[in-house]
Amino acid sequence: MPVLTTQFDAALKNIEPTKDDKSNAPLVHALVKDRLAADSVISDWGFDPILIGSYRRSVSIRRIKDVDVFGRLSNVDDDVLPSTLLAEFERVLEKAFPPVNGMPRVHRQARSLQIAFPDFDGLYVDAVPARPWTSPSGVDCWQLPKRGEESWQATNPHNLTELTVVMNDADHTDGNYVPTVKLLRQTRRAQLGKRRPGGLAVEIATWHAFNSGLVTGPTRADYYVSALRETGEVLRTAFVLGLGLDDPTIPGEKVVVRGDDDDKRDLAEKFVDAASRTADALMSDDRCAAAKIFRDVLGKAVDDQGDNDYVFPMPSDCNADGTTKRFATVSAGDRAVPAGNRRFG
Amino acid sequence: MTSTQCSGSSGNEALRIGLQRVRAMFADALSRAGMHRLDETPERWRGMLTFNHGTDATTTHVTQVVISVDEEFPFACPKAIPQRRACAEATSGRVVADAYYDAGWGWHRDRDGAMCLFIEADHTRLPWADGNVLLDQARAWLANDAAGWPGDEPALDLERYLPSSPERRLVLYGDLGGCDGKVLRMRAERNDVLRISRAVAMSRRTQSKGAGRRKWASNGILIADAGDLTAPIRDWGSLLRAIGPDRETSLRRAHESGLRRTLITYRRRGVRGVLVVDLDISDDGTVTPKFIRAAPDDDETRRMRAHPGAIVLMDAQVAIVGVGAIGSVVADLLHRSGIGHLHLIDSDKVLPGNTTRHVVTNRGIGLPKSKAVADALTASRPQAGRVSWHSAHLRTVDETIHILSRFDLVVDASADSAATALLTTTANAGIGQLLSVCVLADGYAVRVDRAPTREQDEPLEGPVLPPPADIVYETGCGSPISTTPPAAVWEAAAVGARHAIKLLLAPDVVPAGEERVLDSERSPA
Repeated sequence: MPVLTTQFDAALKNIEPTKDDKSNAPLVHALVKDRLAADSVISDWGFDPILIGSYRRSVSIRRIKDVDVFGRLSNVDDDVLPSTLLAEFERVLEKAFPPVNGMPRVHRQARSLQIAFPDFDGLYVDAVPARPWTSPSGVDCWQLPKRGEESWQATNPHNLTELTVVMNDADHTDGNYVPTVKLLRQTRRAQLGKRRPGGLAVEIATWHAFNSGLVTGPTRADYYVSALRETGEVLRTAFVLGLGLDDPTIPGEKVVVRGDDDDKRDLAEKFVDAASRTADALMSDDRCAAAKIFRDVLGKAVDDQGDNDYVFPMPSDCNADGTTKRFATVSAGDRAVPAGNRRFG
Repeated sequence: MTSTQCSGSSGNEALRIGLQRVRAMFADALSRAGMHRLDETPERWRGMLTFNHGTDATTTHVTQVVISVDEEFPFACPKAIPQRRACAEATSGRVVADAYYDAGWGWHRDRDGAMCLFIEADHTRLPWADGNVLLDQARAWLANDAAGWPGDEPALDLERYLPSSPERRLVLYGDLGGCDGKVLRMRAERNDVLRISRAVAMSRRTQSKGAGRRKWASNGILIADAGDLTAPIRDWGSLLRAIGPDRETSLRRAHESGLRRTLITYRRRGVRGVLVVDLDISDDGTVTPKFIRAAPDDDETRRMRAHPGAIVLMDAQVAIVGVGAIGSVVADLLHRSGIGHLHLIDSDKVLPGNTTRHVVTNRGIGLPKSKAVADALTASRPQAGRVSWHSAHLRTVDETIHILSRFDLVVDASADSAATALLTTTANAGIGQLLSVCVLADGYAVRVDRAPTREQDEPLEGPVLPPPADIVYETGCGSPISTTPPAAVWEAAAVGARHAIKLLLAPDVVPAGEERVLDSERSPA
């Protein structure tokens, strides 16, 4: 049963955000939130921003493309429209971040403002306004503008951060949840490319998988394969059977997942298929063939030189096609000393 | 090591890949056991080990362990260091169970905190290359530590628990009976040796004001007995505890008066050991014992490496007729093995050419061979058995009867047909015990013949030999020189010495002889 510990550790390193991305993200976050906080209208609304998103939960994989400013507005009146909030954010941000070489840096999205930072290697900040809300089940959370409508959509990103921390702690997975989420996010990227659903949908499905108690270790390979299997089942239930994806942060609510129905079904089916292939790999006796399966499922990412390379390295005794190289075997119990251990010299 | 049969890699590459593979398999085993990799360079792992101990192994404990794998793996054993409870809680972020076991600092725990998991003899098969074996060994160590190391071997290796002194000289000691509590003198000898004599050292008065203070010279060493040790000596405190309150007072007083060395005698499971230490004192007054390499120099030490039957051999008297190449080596081997009295008989002198295959060096050239060999043996091992010599040729029946009657065994290494015939006939007549040793046909074979043989034995059959090799002559020699290689001489002598010792210890089991072919490529005629 080839668990390929060294290769899984290397794969995690290969998808870890770069040092530059990790230092740039908090910088650009601060630049945007400080500008918004300095505006009297927005500050009168009780502006209290927090960092959210995959970066905040430490589940980002390279490259970090965007950082989220969650603009909590505790004092905004109930009758203030979503479009009004977005307009005020836009006013402030367009002034703070004027066009560069004639190219605007601030773009109005359906429910947020996106600010480009070309000096930070293509990083974006998404600033989204949010107002307080209590769910029918009594959970205090937030609402942000609903895409394409003058209405609101529930969200509780801070709670997702908390759920991540708890699932990753010593009493639950002892640090194995976050790395497995990263590997599954990479798997989504390798299987779906630029198509949606995005990494958040996979992350939430993975949380449900772990919460079922059916994702087990102790090795990285064990966690990855069982998580692929269970997450595939969650995604199949959500997108193939059409039952939707429960929002773990707001009981009774569903997560709004962007993407075509065909793409959603494709994601589910690809995860189920990947789960089957990797389960076979884990059970096989052929270490090199198993490594090739993991390598194919996890696909490529941008390396430190900016080129695309496979995330999962082949073991040094394996060829790229999954066959075994010639090597000198050194094993426990070998007669490394031909005459044995009762010698006198 | 073996190689798989795939193509395309050089030897260096094959070895590099093989070593990476074994390291990866080791990582997999640790990972399966629930251990987490902390660092890559140096490679370190951490995890909890569960073990059982108690009389029926029902008490379960857990200890966090950090395993370090260095660059030389698998040819170097990984280190496993047990962590204290506080550290385990700090790193895991939670309170650990009451069943947590904090490993002690008793036996088998190295100075850096690592568990000593494998003895030297285990290194031949690299058992730790399998991570499961390493973890099982670590669990067994913890269980033994919790139980106080019952049934432990009496390893006399207290040095491993102390830092090494900068003193590079070797300290030799003899019989220390009756010296407990005394300060003895050490004497410097050649080859950087310090020998502890039984002479008591004297302290001298200092010139300081208010006088009355005595100071020890630097060549003094205090002898202190620690009795049965229950824990290793790791520092000043544990050294003082080991030797007990009375000796502690003496040692402290001596140390305050300038004494810097002490020899501790101790016992572990009934076996006696000795530890010699420098008592290094730092600027802040901290005393740190540091071990100095020491060794015993007495008859028992030399005898225990002689032969297991040396106690019996001490009383044996053996004559060796012919101390040419083979006879000289037989004499040397029997002397080392502990024969009480060797008597060497040979009429020849040492010539320069002899020294190639002989134990005698150039210093013996010109001497009678019997004296040269006797001198060489007694110079090498003056404490070993007595060696007498006689420069003579065995010619008569009376002389032969006298030799065979007087000695427990006569070894004939003369390769002199007349002498061998005399000795063999006399021995077969029932007078004494004879062993003839020779090399056949210039190194083709070695042979040993016993006379008389046991009742149930027939003498060995005559050898079947290959044609003679090219004949070599030397100026001044009437007969051709044998081209027997030195290795064949030593091999013949070793076979002869083995039979000789067996004859002295258990004559009933020794067969008629032994012939061994050394050069099977030369076909017999």
